Amino acid sequence: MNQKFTIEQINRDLNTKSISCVDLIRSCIEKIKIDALNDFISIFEDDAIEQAQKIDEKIKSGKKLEFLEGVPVAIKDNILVKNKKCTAASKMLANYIASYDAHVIEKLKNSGVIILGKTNMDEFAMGSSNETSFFGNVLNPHDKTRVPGGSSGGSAASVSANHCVFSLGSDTGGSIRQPASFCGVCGLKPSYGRVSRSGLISLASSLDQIGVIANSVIDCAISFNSICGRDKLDMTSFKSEILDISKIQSDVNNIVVGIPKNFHKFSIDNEILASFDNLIYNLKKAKIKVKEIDMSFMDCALSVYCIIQPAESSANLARYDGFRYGFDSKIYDSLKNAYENNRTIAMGDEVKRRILIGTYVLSSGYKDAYYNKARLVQLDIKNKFNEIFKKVDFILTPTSPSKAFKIGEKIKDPLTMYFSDIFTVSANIAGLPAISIPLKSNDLPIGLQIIGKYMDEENILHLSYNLDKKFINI
Amino acid sequence: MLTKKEIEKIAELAKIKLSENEENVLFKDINDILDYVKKIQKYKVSKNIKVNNYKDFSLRRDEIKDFPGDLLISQFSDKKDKLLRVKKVL
Repeated sequence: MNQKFTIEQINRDLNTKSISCVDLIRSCIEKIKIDALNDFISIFEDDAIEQAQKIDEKIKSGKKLEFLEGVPVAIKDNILVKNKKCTAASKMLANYIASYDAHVIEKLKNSGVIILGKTNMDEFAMGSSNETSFFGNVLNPHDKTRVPGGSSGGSAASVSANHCVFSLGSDTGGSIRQPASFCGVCGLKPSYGRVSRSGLISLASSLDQIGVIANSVIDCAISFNSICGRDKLDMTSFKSEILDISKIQSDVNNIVVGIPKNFHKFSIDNEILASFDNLIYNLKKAKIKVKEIDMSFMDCALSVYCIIQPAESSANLARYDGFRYGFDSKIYDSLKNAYENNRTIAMGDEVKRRILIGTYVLSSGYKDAYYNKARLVQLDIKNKFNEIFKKVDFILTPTSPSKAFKIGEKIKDPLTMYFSDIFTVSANIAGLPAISIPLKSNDLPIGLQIIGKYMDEENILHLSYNLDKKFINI
Repeated sequence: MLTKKEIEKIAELAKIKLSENEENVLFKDINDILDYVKKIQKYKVSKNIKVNNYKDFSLRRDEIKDFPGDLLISQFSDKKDKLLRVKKVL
């Protein structure tokens, strides 16, 4: 693959006039079309070029660009951009036009980035392979016969293929980290509440987080800084300090990393195991403390996720009836028929599956056994993480048990698909920050996941930067 | 485990209409998933479980802001003037 974009390089090239912004944007859009990965649902070609022209005029007038001005970015198509279609990759919203900007989009627009378009994803963010989209599969840039992961498949593929410098995704159970690992890029899921969810099409409100995907750890940090912070329209968001980039680039010392005991039992690909074990060996050789920790709750965390996520989604997706907006089949003679026909025709199989599971686990007679119990187990898992983080500073796992699988390989077996998220869901259940960064691999990309303490994004990125520079590729 | 009758009932609650083929496929899928998740029923929750003390989130002021409604109204499936029209409710 060609040399990957970084924010610093783009900013330098634009300011020194090595490239014009218009040429940069045109070349990104051309590459999107030529590569034909289906990573974009919509491309804002005219708007992007118009913005690029303004950037070039600014440079021509002798002014210096701010760090993010002119940087091409992509946005997952479940994040609202005003006056643009926002489809959530569903027939239900195929023609829906957003009436406002998500909070993160307002912030990005203020920073001067150029939004190239909206990326493809699993329908309503339900999936781990980007095969459930109404707009077709996304292809993995490393091997077009394979999936890019999901649900932020388009966002990960677009960064990996150098279609943009960074992208926004959303992560409810691993939907940023897993596609980042399949596509060989970095993907950060922030602590719950650190990034506003206002303007994000809700999946599971207590688990969803908007995060960033980029080619480097530093670009993850810079792009995260541009979107984080308190938003009065999202009561679960809070004010926090932005990350110190120079600290992230400094040496790391006196840390303790934890690895789960017996995680090998989760049928992990041999090359992933070998690469992960090689990293741990290198850390121990450098006298970094590595401790085994008890994370036997990981299996249960996936069960908790498979109850809480559908339960919340069934409530969040109840709004889609085709009346105020969205797909209207016009095939009905009563209100009841209208609801049923509009929803049945316009929603895909995975969406229906999860809505039905969610409805069941919340229904009278079953709520105690499933949903209420899941909530208690969730609380227990959060407490267990608190105990773990008294002994270690970070937890390291492979991001996913497998590398990118073939298109069609798992789509007919939902439970096998859900297992792709066995290592990632715990962080969502506990509201913790986690990143996936590329591990050493021979052919298809492999991801390393680092989970940190609540609000500890800076130290996670600090460790990620050091691992990438000193320990992963030796 | 879920019976076919129960699936029909929850589909009705969820306002989703399933064909017979879809019912058969979903019947197996949903039962497989429910079979997997029921392990939480055996999970022993700690006695001294700590409930999170969430921060006291400050509420925003309840104030009316102008919001252009034309785009919203233009996306109604059926309308009369500025009103959304739907089938008879009762």
